[in-house]
Amino acid sequence: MNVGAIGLWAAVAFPLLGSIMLALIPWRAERNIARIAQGATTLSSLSAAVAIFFWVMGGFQTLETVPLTLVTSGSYHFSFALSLDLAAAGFLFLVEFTSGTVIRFSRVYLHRETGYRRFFSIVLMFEGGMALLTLASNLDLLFCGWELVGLSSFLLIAFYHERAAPVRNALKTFSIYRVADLGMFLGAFLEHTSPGTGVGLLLLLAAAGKSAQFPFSFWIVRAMEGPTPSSALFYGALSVHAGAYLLLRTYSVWGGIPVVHLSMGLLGLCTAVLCSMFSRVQHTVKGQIGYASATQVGFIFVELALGLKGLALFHMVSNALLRCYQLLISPSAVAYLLRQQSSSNFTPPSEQRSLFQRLLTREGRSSLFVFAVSEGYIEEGLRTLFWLPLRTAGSWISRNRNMNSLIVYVLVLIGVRAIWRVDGPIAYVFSLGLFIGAVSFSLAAISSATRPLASLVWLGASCIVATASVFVSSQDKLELSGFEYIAAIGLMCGIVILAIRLVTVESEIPRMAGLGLGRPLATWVALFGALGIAGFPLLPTFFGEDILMNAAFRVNPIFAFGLSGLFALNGYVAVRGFALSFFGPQREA
Amino acid sequence: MSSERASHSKFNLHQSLERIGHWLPAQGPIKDFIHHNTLHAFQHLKFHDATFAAAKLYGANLSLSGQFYFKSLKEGVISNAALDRALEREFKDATERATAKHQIVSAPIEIPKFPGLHASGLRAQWTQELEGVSLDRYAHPLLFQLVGGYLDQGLSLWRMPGADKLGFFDSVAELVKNSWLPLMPLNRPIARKLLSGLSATAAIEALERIVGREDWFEDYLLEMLLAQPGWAGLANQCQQQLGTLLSPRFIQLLDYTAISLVLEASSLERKLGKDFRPLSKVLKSEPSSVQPDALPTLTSDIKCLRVLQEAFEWSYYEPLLGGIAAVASERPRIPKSSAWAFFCIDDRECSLRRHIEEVNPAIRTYATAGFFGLDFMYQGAEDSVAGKHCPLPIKPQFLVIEEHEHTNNPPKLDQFRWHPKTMSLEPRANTFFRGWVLSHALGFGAALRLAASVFKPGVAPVKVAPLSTVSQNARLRLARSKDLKTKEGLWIGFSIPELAERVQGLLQSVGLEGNWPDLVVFFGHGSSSVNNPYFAAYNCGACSGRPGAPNARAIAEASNMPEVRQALKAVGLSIPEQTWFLGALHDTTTDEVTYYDTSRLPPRLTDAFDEFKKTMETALARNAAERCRRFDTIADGIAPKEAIKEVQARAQSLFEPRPEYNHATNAACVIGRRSLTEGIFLDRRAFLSSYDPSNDPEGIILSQILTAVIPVCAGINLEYYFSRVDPWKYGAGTKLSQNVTGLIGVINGIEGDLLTGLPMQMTEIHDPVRLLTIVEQTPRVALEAVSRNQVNKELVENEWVRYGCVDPFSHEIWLFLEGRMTKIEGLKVPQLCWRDSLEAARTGHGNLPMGFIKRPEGEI
Repeated sequence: MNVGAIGLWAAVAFPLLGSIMLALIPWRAERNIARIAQGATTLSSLSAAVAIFFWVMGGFQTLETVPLTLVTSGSYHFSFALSLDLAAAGFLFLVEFTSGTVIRFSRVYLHRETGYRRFFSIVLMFEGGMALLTLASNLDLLFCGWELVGLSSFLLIAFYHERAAPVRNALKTFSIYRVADLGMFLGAFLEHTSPGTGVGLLLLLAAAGKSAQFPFSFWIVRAMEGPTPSSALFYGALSVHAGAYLLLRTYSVWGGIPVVHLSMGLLGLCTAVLCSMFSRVQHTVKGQIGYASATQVGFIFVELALGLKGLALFHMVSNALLRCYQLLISPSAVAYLLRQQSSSNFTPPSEQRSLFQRLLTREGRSSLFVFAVSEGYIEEGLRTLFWLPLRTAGSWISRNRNMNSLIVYVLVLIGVRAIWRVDGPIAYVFSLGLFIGAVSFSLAAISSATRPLASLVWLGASCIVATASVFVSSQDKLELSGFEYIAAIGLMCGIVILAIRLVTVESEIPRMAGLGLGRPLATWVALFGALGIAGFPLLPTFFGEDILMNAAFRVNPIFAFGLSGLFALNGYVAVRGFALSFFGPQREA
Repeated sequence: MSSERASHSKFNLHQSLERIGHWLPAQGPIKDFIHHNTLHAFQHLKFHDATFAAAKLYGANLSLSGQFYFKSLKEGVISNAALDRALEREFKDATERATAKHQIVSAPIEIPKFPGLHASGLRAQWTQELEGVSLDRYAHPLLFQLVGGYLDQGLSLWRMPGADKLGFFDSVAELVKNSWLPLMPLNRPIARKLLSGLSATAAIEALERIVGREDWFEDYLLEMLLAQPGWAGLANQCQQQLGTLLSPRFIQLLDYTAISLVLEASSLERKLGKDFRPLSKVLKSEPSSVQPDALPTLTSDIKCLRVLQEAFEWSYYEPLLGGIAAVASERPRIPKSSAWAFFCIDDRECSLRRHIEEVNPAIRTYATAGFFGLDFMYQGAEDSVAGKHCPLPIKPQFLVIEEHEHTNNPPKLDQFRWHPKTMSLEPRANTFFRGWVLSHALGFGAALRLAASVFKPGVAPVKVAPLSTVSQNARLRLARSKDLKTKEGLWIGFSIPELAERVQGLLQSVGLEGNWPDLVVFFGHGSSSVNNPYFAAYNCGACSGRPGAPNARAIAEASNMPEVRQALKAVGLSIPEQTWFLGALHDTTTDEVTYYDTSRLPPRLTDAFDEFKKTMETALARNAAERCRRFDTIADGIAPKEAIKEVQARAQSLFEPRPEYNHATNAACVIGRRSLTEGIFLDRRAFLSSYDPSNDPEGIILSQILTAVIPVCAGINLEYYFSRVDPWKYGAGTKLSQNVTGLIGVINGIEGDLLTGLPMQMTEIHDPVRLLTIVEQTPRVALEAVSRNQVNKELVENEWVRYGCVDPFSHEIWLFLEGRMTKIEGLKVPQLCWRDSLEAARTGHGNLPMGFIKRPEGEI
């Protein structure tokens, strides 16, 4: 391996190592913590610089590392490989520059904050995730970085986890990230088997979720709950551009497919128009900058759709830098704008109304204002269309009688299938039946948020039944992997249950019970378990899900899609259950 | 029809809201951040009763945690003697006292937790009806979005239609009526019906629909508004203080309440259906009636906590009083002075004065409220509006305008607006087309600026000239030649007699000692921090949260006027001809000083002035070194030269949430001659006001001083007290996640309630101790003087402020305890002694025990 390639590895590894060190070593002195954080990010930047240097010296030839295969199972294999090209170099510079600066900024800014160590650990995890996402040369690995970014976002939005609003907004963001994950996961999966329009559209879905594009834009302004530097780094600079970068990096996958270009252009334009409207009625600085950033990412999508890769890259980096800076100096807005207003040659804003507004009638202006304040009814719409039906169905299923019927139904199906070993279409019927059972369990878990133990049991059941549904119709020899997956899920559920048991004996836990307050160990353990259920990359369940997906895909691609949807949902439910019991203000007994 | 019904009913909405408004925070827009007692509404109660009742009403902490007191006790911060004294005062019965003492010393006491009325009363019942989700979650996001958008002073690019012409209720009603699109949930029939009438009618009809029983209406309103104290309080403040906003908005608590109720009614209708049952039908049992200031029953825990707080305070008071008693009995020495320096009473100036005197004992310092007796509105040469430059209770009658001497050379503010440096702060950088261009154009520049400011602070990229500054090349229109009034009814400038009267009042009140020197300097104070929405709280409290520069400059100019001196001579105050007055500004963040109108200084004083400036430079650096000891990130024993660089870098750092610690740790106020405090190391914890009892036998001057000093200092002290005791309920939480809204305040996230009080970064090192005010007077005169002002009387009698005196003749210490002045005996004199302030400042970060500064003999 040459030096450049080592530089690439090091750029990813240092922040992650730093993150792990900070997470594990219970330092109290801020100086040590800041030193580790700064050291890790500086080493990472230097490594990146070395890699970029060798890339330049090599005549801008794509710099690649030797692939390192980690898991192989049948046709499925997972390998580590990084590569550096123009887009990656540009984005890597952005990642290293903004992370380095923000870490340096936060060293003093977060002084005396409880959670100083946690903050830097998470920011380093984010930096490592971003570097991995930037450099990964295959989509599976990119997905790992993608997930690290999502997790760190979730944890930093809920940084002030003892208040309810940050936790709620963290979950909101996480739910959209899950949709993006689904797109990414399926895209990565499909890329191995049948590249084409489908992959392009799935990647577009992933990018839209991560980059706050239509119809997911609403999360970005609600994510501004953590300390200002983290908002600047995540929602001003990096994670909001991660989606656009994904599209740039995978241009070779979707480039030239008209449907993808067209949808990307329309999506971007639609976002730009809508978000710029929403931005105009925001009365908070961060809200305004958040939507402004999403607006520009919309433009970047359009630029990508037009094939203007260079412009898109430049725009991405430049916009990220500007928005990051804007958020960091956002507290200055009061002094600056008030000074301006009270200076003697200032024209009051009512006279500077834009042409657009002057042309409209009173009704038109009011309607436009209402539309913008309601943020285009998008969040409400998505909630009504997707989330509420799940909740309603869930609460119907989780009634005692229905629950019993469900269990009997699943047991009967499995029992019959155990005796009657058929293949072909009838096996598909069994699969479908079991799959419906799995979904039902998962829905039951959603509406048992106040009974986390029951919820976990239903989640486990959902995963097991889902595995069974693959078993009954798959031709693959999956016995072992399937059992491994089930065992892993069981283990993860067990871990969460244990963590809950450690802190409380109640079975009924109110929402936002704040069980984690003052109990960091139990909280981290529970989070680990929840992430395990969510199939977080590199945990055993992650590979299990991949293998099951592969098997299901060979049965029927639609089956695989449904299954991955179920996995994504289960992951969300697990993390939601975790957050609702461990986060939030502590309640009186 | 319904308004008729409303007028027939017993329930009076306006009176109810007036009562309820009382319980809401009294904080105005953040640009005018003025410290005030967080629990102003409870001032009619005794302090301890008030904190208790308020904790119950708001769901706040009663005091600091039991662990804090326990630790203080173990570490000796609370002295044993103080504990015994406090126990004796609280428990008259000896066995009870012993039990209590045992309880206190054996384990930390749990502070009681109250849910707060908004979470436990009538309205909280909706949570059950709504399947565990609080009604707040349905009603608040849109309500805050609407009120934030309506009040917005210049952040959003599309203002709410009609916001500048209509009231809040009418604006929302018009919006809903005119819009083709639904503003959910205000598109419900119930909302449309309610919004079509007047706000009062809408409020009452909504209450009938939601609550259904008239005798519960007021309780419901109170609970509803206490669940959103920030915005509701601001609406109330805007109603109380018209003209407080630069872009006027017509909001009243009534309007705000009505919209809130309409939103609640429509949310309920949306969630529970058209025929949802009102609370009167939902509730099974009769709720107990609410009395906001009712006193909960005292438990032994509460009594112990009171004892601990009293003991904690006494542990600070006793050595201070002992120190003052020791110094008071020494004979004051009045050296011949080469210059006098006047400062604000601010606790941040207390150390600077000490350093000046240490560096050059020939400079005598005085302190008086930082508006220097000049009550005016001030409009700087570059301002389009005037700001108030005197304490909050005073209503100024005068306007002082600053004018450029060379009017053909006005400042170029257009540059200011389009400068790439500040373009990033423009809301217009966030629009569609302009945003597209700028996001390409500004990105890398922003990166450079950011990197520069992070890696090499000192070049603040977004430094903004504060409001109400003074320009060097401009002059004040201080004296008026013709009687001109503005359309608001303010005199433009003072007349000569008015000026003379104010100068005389000022000079008499401080009690000048010794002969007039050639140079007298008035120091106003201000602060220059960057990236700090709380900038107003860092400025001069006696100038309503603005820098004191205009006042200092004006009083100097007035004192130099020959006409004024003539008039003064006529009343027996003759200022020698060679004496010259200068105005100056002390920046409390950077420890820099700017002098004004130095070009007019008589040439013969150049040397004296240079000498003075040199002293100031040394003193400022030493002051910076003393301040640095409070910052944990700075190593102990920093040299003055380094310290001044450190504090200046701090003021310029984007990433520094603590440019200075402001009034944190303030605990005392001493009103008397300088000799009373000169040798004591007060550790920047005391407000000092100069006053000479010898020419004020009846305490008339003292009353005037107290009228200005106690409300300002007690406001600061109590706001710090409560923001420290409960940083989230009384304070503004953490600064780190705050989001600026509408240029009027800060919130968390984008849909939070407005945050009131002080953020933790300002109060974290503050020890909550009530202000101990000591005046140099006989007990009789001292008590009379404070009782002349109703507010002060209440503050002292109800123990919100501890009041006492040191008798100028007998040097005895008297304190106001249980309704009368009581002589305090057996005070121990602190033994600690440092060579100079710098030596004291080298000792660690925390509060220092009381001690003396003794200069070696012969240096004086």
